Amino acid sequence: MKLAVVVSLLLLTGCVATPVAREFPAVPAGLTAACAALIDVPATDKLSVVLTTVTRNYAQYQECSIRVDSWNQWYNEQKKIFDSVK
Amino acid sequence: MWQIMWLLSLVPDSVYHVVLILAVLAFGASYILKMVPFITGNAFVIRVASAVLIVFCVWMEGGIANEAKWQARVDELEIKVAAAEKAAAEANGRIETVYVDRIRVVKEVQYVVQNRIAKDAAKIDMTCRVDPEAIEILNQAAHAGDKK
Repeated sequence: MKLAVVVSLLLLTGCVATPVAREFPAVPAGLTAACAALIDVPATDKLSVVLTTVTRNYAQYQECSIRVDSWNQWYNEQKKIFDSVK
Repeated sequence: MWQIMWLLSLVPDSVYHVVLILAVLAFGASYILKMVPFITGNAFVIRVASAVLIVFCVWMEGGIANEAKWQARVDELEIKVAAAEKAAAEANGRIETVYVDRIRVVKEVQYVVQNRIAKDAAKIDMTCRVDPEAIEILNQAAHAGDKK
């Protein structure tokens, strides 16, 4: 019995994982920035002021949208590359 | 246990090959060369010792072959990982460049739009007065998805 245990332990020494370390790549810093909050329209009766704020908010949305698109594209591409190594 | 394996791994592979050949020869000699006085007198001991050596060396040969197989697998994986890391770095650079370019375009358009509003402010404001209620509605809508 003891001999069987020793032999089993000896045989188990072959059961080691392949020693190739891998890391998922780091995401570009720009893609991790949080989306800014929308800007409030100041109290005014001028349409130009309202328009200015609204167009700034549009720009913020577009930036945020691009960031999310880029993040998704980055993740999908990196996952595909990562999973291709087998 | 790993210390024993580590010690055994320090011995060059060729030693096991040579010892295995010698053990097989000694095992055969213990049966065949009966005319040699030393062998005749120690035939049993030589037979047992060579049999033990044969078993041990065959086991080590198996280990060496297995190790070589795994090493080949590791080498293959290392090449693939290096290629993947290069591809990942290229993808990172490409995505970041496209992202920066798109953000720059948004900012440029925004700059043009703001200048246009500033330029035409008098004309825009001349025919329209905004009710405070409209501003309140706009601001309320802007904060609809805020974190609580």
